[in-house]
Amino acid sequence: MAEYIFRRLMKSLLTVFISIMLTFLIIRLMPADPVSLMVDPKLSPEVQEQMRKNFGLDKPIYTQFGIYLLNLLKGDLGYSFKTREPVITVLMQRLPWTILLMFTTLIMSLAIGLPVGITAAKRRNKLFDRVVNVLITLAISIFIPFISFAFLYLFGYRLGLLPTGGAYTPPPTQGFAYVLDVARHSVLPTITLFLGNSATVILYSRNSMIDVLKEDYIRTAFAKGWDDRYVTRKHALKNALIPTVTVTGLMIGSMMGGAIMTETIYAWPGVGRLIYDSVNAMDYPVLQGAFLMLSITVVAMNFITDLVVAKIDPRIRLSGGRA
Amino acid sequence: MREVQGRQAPDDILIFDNYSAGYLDDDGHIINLLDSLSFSVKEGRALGIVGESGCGKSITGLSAIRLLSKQLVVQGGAIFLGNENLLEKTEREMQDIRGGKIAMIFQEPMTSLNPVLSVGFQIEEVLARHRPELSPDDRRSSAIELLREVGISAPEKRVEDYPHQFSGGMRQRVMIAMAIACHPLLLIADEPTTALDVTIQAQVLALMKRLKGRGSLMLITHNLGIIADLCEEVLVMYAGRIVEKADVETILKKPIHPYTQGLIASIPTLRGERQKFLYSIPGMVPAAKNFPSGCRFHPRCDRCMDLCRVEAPPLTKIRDGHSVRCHLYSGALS
Repeated sequence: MAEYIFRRLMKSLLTVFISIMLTFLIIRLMPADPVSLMVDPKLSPEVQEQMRKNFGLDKPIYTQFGIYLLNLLKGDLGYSFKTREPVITVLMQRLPWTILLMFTTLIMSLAIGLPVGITAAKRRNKLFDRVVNVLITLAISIFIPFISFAFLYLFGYRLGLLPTGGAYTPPPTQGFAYVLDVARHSVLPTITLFLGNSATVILYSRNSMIDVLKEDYIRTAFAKGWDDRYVTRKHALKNALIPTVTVTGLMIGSMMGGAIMTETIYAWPGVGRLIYDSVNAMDYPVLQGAFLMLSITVVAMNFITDLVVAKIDPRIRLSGGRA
Repeated sequence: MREVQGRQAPDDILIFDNYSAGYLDDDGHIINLLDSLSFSVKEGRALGIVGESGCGKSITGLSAIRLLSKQLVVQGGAIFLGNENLLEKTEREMQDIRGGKIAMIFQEPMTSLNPVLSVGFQIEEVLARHRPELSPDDRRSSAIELLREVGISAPEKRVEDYPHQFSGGMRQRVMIAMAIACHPLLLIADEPTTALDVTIQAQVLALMKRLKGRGSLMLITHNLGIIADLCEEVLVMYAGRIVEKADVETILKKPIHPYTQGLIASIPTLRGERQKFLYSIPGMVPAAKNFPSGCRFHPRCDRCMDLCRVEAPPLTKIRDGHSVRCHLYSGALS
């Protein structure tokens, strides 16, 4: 097990390093000169040259990369072009909001998705399963802006039940009133994200459960005289959870920065919205930081997923190979 | 159901009485697979069921523990365990029988064990189900004892291991340990050695031979050699019907059904005249929806008569303990 963890960890670190390098290079490959974005082009060439020097842009690219790596280790991601704040500060302001949205969505998706998926698998082709299948197809194929605007129109405008945007009503209040206010604001974005994510969870848990129930060892368990409940719980569930765990890990990774559309439409102050704004403002350092955070999250989630799967499946745990 | 009470000889453990089963096709029609099976497994004896793939022998085994898949439906008859008709039992009552009074070993040892549970747990599970009086510690020591009994070395250590750490032959030993855990009256073994290498087959067979006699055995296989090794009585099945039923000696030395004769002739032999080609029965087993009319074997039979095409031959008793389903012997010719 220790060897397995070590190898996974090394692989993850390598992936992070490569993604740091890619993010670094992509920004350098952009046609626009960062200096011309930051300073008035009317400044004299000498001053512009001086600024390049200050930013280290006159040095060869591998030296720049070395400096960048060193700064990264110190947690220095550079400064936002737009607000002149350190990128790390900007990201840290936004991250809690995205995490809040992500965890509520995730917990709801798993708490509802898993039982629904498993029940659908056990009642395959019965009415319940058919209805679930139709709903999944709808939820996966629906266009997020469409459903979001529909929600906003209905609940925000027509019924006036829920706020139309933001994460709280400014100025922020204190204590319980604040929590309640944030909760009210998060209802629509959470439901929007829940639709797609729960559909994925249901799809995976249902399909893997159907496959597992066909396995020979399920028949063996029945041949021992156990009832359906026990066989499902003890023999089928653990095996069926393996693909679902993997897809949930991937989901978390992509949700960290992935809710761009949802956060933008509901004006939710998370990382997704930040990415959208930074693209518009050509705020490269912030984008670079956001992408970096995203890739680290994805890699970290993959690592954690591998550990969880190894915990469930002894074949992986002991052989060390096979991901 | 039928007038069965008290009808069977006292030493019959399991009796199939005119049992028929079929499968539901997509249109909701039932297509017959097993046609009026009547046979019995005697106490302490071994019955071999032999036939080609698709002849219904596995379904016969699964019928005895009522673990048929949903598409398969019982069309009639009865299956008795002692005096009780298994087909009239509730699912709950069947669960008490499965693994307790009747245990089953399956063909694929590689996939018949759950990969995420230790073999110890999977053996103890049978005990937990049928012998609730045992404490967890008792179950563990029983599991170790069972593993030792089926020839797994260092069972105290191996009991914690997972199926993928065992070879195919060892896994089949684990399956056997699970099956004999509660000393079943009847053990059904469905192709227990087919998926194994020849040398491993011999070891597993030797183990089954050693365990033989503790209860009755119903051995399902396509390998007559294994039957000769383990069984006293043989049932030859073809396309869902019993074609010949006799003691093992008769089946091997003096088979009278053309199909049984073909099967015996297709066993390679080291003695006698050297044959250039090994005999094989022409054609193949038909799928259930294409079962021929009359005798189901007639298209492949080299002694087929007009009658065989239209009328199914009855199971005719040749002498005590030897019956055959063939018009050559049904008296229809005279």
